[in-house]
Amino acid sequence: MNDYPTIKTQVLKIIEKYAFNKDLVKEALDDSRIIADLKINSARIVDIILDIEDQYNIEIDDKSIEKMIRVKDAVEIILNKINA
Amino acid sequence: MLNKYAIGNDIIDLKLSDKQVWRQKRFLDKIFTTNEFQYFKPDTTNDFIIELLFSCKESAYKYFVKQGRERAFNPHSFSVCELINRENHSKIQYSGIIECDQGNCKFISEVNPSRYVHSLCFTNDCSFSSIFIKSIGTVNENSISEIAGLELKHFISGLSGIDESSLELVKDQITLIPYIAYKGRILPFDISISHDGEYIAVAATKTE
Repeated sequence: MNDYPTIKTQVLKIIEKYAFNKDLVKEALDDSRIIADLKINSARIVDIILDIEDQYNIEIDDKSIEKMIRVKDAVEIILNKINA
Repeated sequence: MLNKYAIGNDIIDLKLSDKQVWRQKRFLDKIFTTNEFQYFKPDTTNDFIIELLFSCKESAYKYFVKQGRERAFNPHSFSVCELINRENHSKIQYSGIIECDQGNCKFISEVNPSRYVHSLCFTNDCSFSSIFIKSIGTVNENSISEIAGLELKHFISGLSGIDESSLELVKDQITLIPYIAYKGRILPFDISISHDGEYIAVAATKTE
């Protein structure tokens, strides 16, 4: 299923894999900022993006990366790309 | 107009960077501009140059957030356009220039082989920053912010002469830019905090 709640769960699972503080990810909301609130550093963001690309067989370009500020942004970008 | 006192710093724990992942072309393509590929070969055996460039770009990102840039991740927005090796007998140091669409900034980087790389970005006018790097060992991730705050207060206490127990660390909730306050007043220091693995790096410069 490629609906919002399913993708969100999968994305948070990927983020949790690279998070230093996994408790923050467990409590993440749609509006949680990936860098600022979940304390994900830039090197791990790249790891997360590569995992997302692999999992959904999509390419996340620079413009999409820049827009991926909150959890909901990441989910919406993935949904837009897999439904394109 | 650029804030001439702004600084941004970044530290990378070399033990934590996954060499296999960090040398993959896909990974490098996401981070580095075409121009930056001139500084290394993807299959480089050099143990720190990729981490060093990454650290430069991350410190530039923090620097430009202080210049009003939105806190969004896009490593291709920053490009190391000059990299000079200043290696001498005792230290491995680099300096250079990073450009982005908002302007340029300078950087200095220092490598402590097998331990860390650290970079500091600053404007042309600001060359008197103090840097403090400390190994804090393995600690619970939940206590990193608290430890970093204590180290920062200790550091600023040494620079300002104010007792560290009277200092307060405050962060802008939107930009996450940190400040040090004393009796409710922001002290005239631009500060930057970085943490990775077992290292904390704090940099400060006086703004008046």
